[in-house]
Amino acid sequence: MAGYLEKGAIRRHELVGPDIWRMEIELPRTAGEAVPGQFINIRVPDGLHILRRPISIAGTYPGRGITEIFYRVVGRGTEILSHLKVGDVIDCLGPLGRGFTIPDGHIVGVGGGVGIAPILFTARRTKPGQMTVAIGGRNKEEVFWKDFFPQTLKELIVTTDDGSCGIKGFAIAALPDIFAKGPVAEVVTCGPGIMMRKTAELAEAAGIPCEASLERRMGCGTGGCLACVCDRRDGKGHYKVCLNGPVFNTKEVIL
Amino acid sequence: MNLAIDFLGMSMKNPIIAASGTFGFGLEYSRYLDLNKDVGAISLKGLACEPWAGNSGVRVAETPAGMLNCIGLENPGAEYFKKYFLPELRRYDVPLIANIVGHTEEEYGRVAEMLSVPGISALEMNISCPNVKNGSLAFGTHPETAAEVTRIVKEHTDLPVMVKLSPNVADIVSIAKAVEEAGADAISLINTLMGMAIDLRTRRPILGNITGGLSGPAVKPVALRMVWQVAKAVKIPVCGLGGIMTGEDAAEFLVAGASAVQVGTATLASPDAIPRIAGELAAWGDANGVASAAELTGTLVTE
Ligand SMILES: Cc1cc2nc3c(=O)[nH]c(=O)nc-3n(C[C@H](O)[C@H](O)[C@H](O)COP(=O)(O)OP(=O)(O)OC[C@H]3O[C@@H](n4cnc5c(N)ncnc54)[C@H](O)[C@@H]3O)c2cc1C
Ligand SMILES: Cc1cc2nc3c(=O)[nH]c(=O)nc-3n(C[C@H](O)[C@H](O)[C@H](O)COP(=O)(O)O)c2cc1C
Ligand code: FES
Repeated sequence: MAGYLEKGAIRRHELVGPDIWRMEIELPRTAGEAVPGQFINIRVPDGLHILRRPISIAGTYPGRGITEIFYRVVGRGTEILSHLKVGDVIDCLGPLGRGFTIPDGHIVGVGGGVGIAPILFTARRTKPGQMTVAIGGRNKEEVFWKDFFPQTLKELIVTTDDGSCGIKGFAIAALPDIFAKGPVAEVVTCGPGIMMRKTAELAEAAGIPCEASLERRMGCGTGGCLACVCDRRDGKGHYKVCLNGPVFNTKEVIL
Repeated sequence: MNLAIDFLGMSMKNPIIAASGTFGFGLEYSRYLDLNKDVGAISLKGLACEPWAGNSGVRVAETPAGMLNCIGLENPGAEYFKKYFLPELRRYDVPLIANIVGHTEEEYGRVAEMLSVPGISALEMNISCPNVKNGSLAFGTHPETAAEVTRIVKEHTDLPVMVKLSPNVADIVSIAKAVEEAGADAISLINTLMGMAIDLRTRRPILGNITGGLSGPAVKPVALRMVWQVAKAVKIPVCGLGGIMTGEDAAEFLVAGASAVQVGTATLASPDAIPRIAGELAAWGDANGVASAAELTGTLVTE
């Protein structure tokens, strides 16, 4: 699905975790249409950076026309974004890409790092008691996300590498237990490659459909440049992550 | 200002052609602009006689005021394009230019023939491709190989042929003259400038292919200089490109000697770049008493 060019004012901007910012932007069309897994492509507002920055949508408030994102400062573009103030207007393109399918039934989400953002959006769109989420980070600072998840989840499992919050270990370690407890309609995952590969393996072994949201360097975000391709699992060439993804059934692509 | 021009036998509603590789096969953009009136013509993503897979690994990197790409000319092949994209594209009222690539002169001839079909208005030869028979040196780096591949393509088509020059050469004028002599109907320049980017933290190249082509505002001065030099030296029309982001950039290329321009990287930055640039060009012309785009071509004042 292709998006809209929308310029919108920043309505909220705050540091919520280690180098991680939460931003609410007034983008009514995006907020009205976005589904979990889709992203917006944000122009760095200094005129010098050519390429837009793809950032997952973490939530929408259509009534207020608000689209919410969480981003980590990793380089120049996100650094410049982090200096913007409430009221500043940014140029966005979205909602872009194909989102998660989200069937009826029990959904299990597995997220790590900023990959938790689309899992959060999914959690916010599922019915009360429909979704179990497992998120992981290195330490308790990195799992600040837990406070943003709705209280109505079936279960929220938090893991940290150092045991400073929740269970010590990786988020994927929770999966076998969850699968054993009852039927799962779908697993959705976004985060480090290794985490998504492991999640897909476990889900596929249990016969559960699994969708993963992929990350690639992008040129256009609109399907025109072929910068963002990933390999198809059937060997028949490529998919464009910006247009055919970023969410793929894990059986369709090589993770 | 009247933006409409006649270029390479095409009636264009404005002098801006969507540059190859930055506009897909056009259809993706019908959501962001009106293909029936906003774009002068479309130079389609480079096509070969067989599908090409392109490069693996990271394919783009941002650089100061520009970007590098090493897409590697991924394309589904001319047959697939004709079957699945051309019929849909032909429903729009916009001239289509088939940008063609090959590993050998025979492949260029073959793809030229395959794409000389109703619906295609002209061919653009990307001669920056490595010539596999000649130690992988690009066709476009020597006057003799550039002229020879142009001659072969001309023998395989009745369409007008525009040759797109590589800037990665010692003497752009000698190549331009050689392809003119070989029958080219127009010249477009510049293709991307070879460059690279390094991630110092890992000491690895950022691009999967190590090197890639630089485009965007960073290359504009080089492109303008080359367009000016080539336009002075040949009689066939010249299409200028490289880093055009605004209407004034486009006007500069026309003044330097171009009859039409192309816009590439600006579309990646924003899918509606072409109509915006066309609008700015018209406004600039109106403000400066220029009646038509055609009247600007080659009006550089050097005395
Ligand atoms: C579909 C998708 C969704 C994303 N969602 C989020 C999110 O919700 N929150 C978040 O913090 N990050 C997200 N990212 C990653 C984010 O796009 C990059 O961290 C960001 O572009 C870095 O920009 P920069 O200028 O700070 O970094 P620089 O390294 O200075 O950027 C240089 C260039 O590389 C690109 N780039 C650098 N790192 C990445 C990366 N990891 N992925 C893709 N492109 C990159 C930039 O876009 C830019 O073109 C997402 C990426 C994709 C593809
Ligand atoms: C992502 C990308 C893909 C490209 N693919 C092609 C191509 O297939 N064939 C071609 O002749 N030029 C290709 N080019 C070069 C552009 O058409 C153009 O010559 C160059 O980018 C300079 O113009 P610009 O600065 O306006 O982008 C590509 C450029 C980019 C950025
Ligand atoms: S980023 Fe250009 S095709 Fe996906």
